[in-house]
Amino acid sequence: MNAWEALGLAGLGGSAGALLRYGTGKWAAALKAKPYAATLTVNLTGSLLIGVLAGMEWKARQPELYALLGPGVMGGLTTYSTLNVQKATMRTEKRYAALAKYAAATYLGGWLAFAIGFGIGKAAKG
Amino acid sequence: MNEWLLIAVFGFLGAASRYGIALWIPDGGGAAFPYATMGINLVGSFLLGALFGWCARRSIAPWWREALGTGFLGAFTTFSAFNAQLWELCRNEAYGFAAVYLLASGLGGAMLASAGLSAGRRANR
Repeated sequence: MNAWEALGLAGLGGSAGALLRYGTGKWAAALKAKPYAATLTVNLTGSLLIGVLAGMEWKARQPELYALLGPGVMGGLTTYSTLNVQKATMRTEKRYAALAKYAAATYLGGWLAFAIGFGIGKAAKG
Repeated sequence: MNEWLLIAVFGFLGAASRYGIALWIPDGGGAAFPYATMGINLVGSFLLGALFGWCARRSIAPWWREALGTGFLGAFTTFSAFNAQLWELCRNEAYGFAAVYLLASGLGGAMLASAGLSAGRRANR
């Protein structure tokens, strides 16, 4: 796998991840859920799944598939820019309780999701 | 134009740009500080703020906002790699780096998003 192939794989995966994130947003809107519920969902799901890949040590064992799924699909599915804009907006609107809850769910949840994924990946690798 | 197609194209560009930067400035792994991903997430947060600030004053075609915001910047920035790197730093007992990384991305990034929102509004009077 040369650098161009790696870029292409990450891009293709990122494309799929971005579509899944966009679809999750549409789905949340249809369910009348808050927009940050969609962001939280994709960020926690992506953190869990990247944890599985890390636990299985895919980066070293399956570099092509890792580029497609890790920096590709999971990187494209999860997002930090929307998260930070949402936090900034909550602060400007003085919705401090919502901000605290959202930040706690995102950061503690993300860490926990990764840890659980990592454990699953390690067990699956055997 | 079909929004799904735009998200696919701009998502490709965003993820490939992030990966390209990571190839150019490798994050190192282990106890090394992940400068590239931090920079990407900070720049992306400012730019998304600027885009939203700009759109708040004057509406642009909604597909541009989706293509650049949800497609490009959404895929450019990443929360999954952030958690993976935070984990790596802690596993290698680089707790100081982990704390700096968390604060810079979470607090610094939100401040940059705020600055972006104001800059975008100012630029589009």
